[in-house]
Amino acid sequence: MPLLSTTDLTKRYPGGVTALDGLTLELEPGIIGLVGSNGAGKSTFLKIMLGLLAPTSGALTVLDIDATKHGPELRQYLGYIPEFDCLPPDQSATDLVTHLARVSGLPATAARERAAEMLRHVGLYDERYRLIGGYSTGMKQRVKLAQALVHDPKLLLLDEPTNGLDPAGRNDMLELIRRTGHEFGISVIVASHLLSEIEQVCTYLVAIDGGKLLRAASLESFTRETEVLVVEVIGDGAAYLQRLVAAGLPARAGAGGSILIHLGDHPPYDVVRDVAAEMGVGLMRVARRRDRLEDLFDVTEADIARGQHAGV
Amino acid sequence: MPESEPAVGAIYDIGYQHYDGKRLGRRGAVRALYVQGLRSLFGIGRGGRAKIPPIALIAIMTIPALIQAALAGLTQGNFAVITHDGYFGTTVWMFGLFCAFQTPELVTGDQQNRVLALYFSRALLRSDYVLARIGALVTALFAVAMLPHIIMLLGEYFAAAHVLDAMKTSLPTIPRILAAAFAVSVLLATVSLTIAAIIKRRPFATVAILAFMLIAGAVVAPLVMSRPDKLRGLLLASPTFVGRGVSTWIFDTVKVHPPVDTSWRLPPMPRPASDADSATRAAWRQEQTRRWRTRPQSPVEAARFPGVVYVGAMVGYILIGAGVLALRYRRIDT
Repeated sequence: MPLLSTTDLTKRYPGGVTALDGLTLELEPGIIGLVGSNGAGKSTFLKIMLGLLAPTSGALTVLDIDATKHGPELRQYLGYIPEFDCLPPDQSATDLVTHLARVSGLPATAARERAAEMLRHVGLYDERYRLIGGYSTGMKQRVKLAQALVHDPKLLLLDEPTNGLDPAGRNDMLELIRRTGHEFGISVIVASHLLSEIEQVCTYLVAIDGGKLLRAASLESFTRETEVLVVEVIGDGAAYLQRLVAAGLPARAGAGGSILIHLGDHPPYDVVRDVAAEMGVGLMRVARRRDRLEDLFDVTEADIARGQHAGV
Repeated sequence: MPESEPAVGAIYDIGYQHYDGKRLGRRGAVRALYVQGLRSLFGIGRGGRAKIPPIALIAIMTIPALIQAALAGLTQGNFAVITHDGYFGTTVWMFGLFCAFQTPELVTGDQQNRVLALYFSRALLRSDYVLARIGALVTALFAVAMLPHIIMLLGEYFAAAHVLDAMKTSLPTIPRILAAAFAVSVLLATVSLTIAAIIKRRPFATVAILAFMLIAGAVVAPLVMSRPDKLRGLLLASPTFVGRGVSTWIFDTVKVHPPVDTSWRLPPMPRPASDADSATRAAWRQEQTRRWRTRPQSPVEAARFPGVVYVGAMVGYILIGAGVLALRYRRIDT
């Protein structure tokens, strides 16, 4: 059973903004990263998964349940962390999470027990009896995670869970996400604009931009796709680049006269060395480098143009 | 179960348990929101300061009933400062204050702190949330409305020579007390919750409810009293007067009220000429006095609408409120 599958999912807001544009996708259980720049349609996609927003057209099933028709039934199995601050300052974490467990349909005793358990799980101990108004951003993020887990969901939807956290808090959060996915067997979809963060925990990546699917693939293949070899030479760099391209390498000019070679399935090292020896240019630097997210989109858009994008 | 002081670095190592127990679904959700709403309306589970307004308002509302119960005991039920049918009319201002201070507690915080996002991502519909909140407010107002009547009934029973007879005498009044308290509670709950839901900020919501409940009433009352024949329609613009009208209508069917005089409809009497005989002057004075004594005591008496008008207005308020609430919560983007 796939975790989630969409067919031609489209969402247009009144006023003409298209948030999702013909998204077709099928995801297996695991930790899935949903990457895209701000306004790419990530939050809209999550809200449609929750059955909170009706798509303009297209179909979406989550956990084999039609999200557009059976919202409440589906939401029993979902946990959700919105990207914004959504906690009442005048309640304690214990009271809030217990109350939300009961709103999720748990009986009173179970709600109290699970709330205490989840708050411990996210690392809140004595603080949980204090009012949330006095919490740090990191503590609030933990409370949000606890409330999303309290009813034991099958799928956790996290919208920018590391927003506003300091590096230590970010690492704690990512570790909690990793544990939730790997040790508890709960699937996770993490929406983020920071590829470098979520690639630490994800097994699968979905990249969207402007509401369109750019690419959906396992993390390894993404890594392969986005890794480049940076080459700097002494001598006629432009001619060297031409020769590399002529030799069939996916090379292009980078910043400061460097040459970027996309690292695909066939390592280009031999060609780089041989062509340099032949032309008599000196190799100053040969280094592997990870592309930034913007570069990733360049690559994938080029892929789409060549009709190679993974429609999965 | 809690372990002894967890070592730094190992704080998350407790293990995760899946939950296979009972799930109560939407009913559980509605119940949780209802109970939490009811508690917060009376300041339970909040700090001490949150308990002051509801307790003070309930106390003030109950004072006439306590006095009446005490008087019933002293005079063996022969003297009444206040009766069941007039109670809502007398304490309506306190009801308005209770709505104004306590209703925003139910909904403004959820909107302002964006807790709604956490509610609506759970297994319930938006209408479930609205129903749970209205239910909590109706229950609270109903309890507040019933308390003085219960005190007065107990006073009557204790004062009576024969308790069972007193109970029998009060029997036809009790369903009317219940009906009036329920009608007024539903009406005021819907109106004040609608206002609180539209206006996001708590202090503004309080002011708006006060304005609609009390200030509108205060403006309308003298106008209706001065020209009931022309301006009585204004009375329906005030939900508190609609509530008083419904309550009066419910009790009037048992003739608790003396029949209201309609002398205001009579043409004004010209003062007799100074050379008129004393009998004419005396008759004029007598008629003037009679008119003054039997003048309407409240805008509801002055307007003399049939009960169906008030009931219709009440249903109108409830339907409009429910419609606005449904639209409002459908639109909230979480």
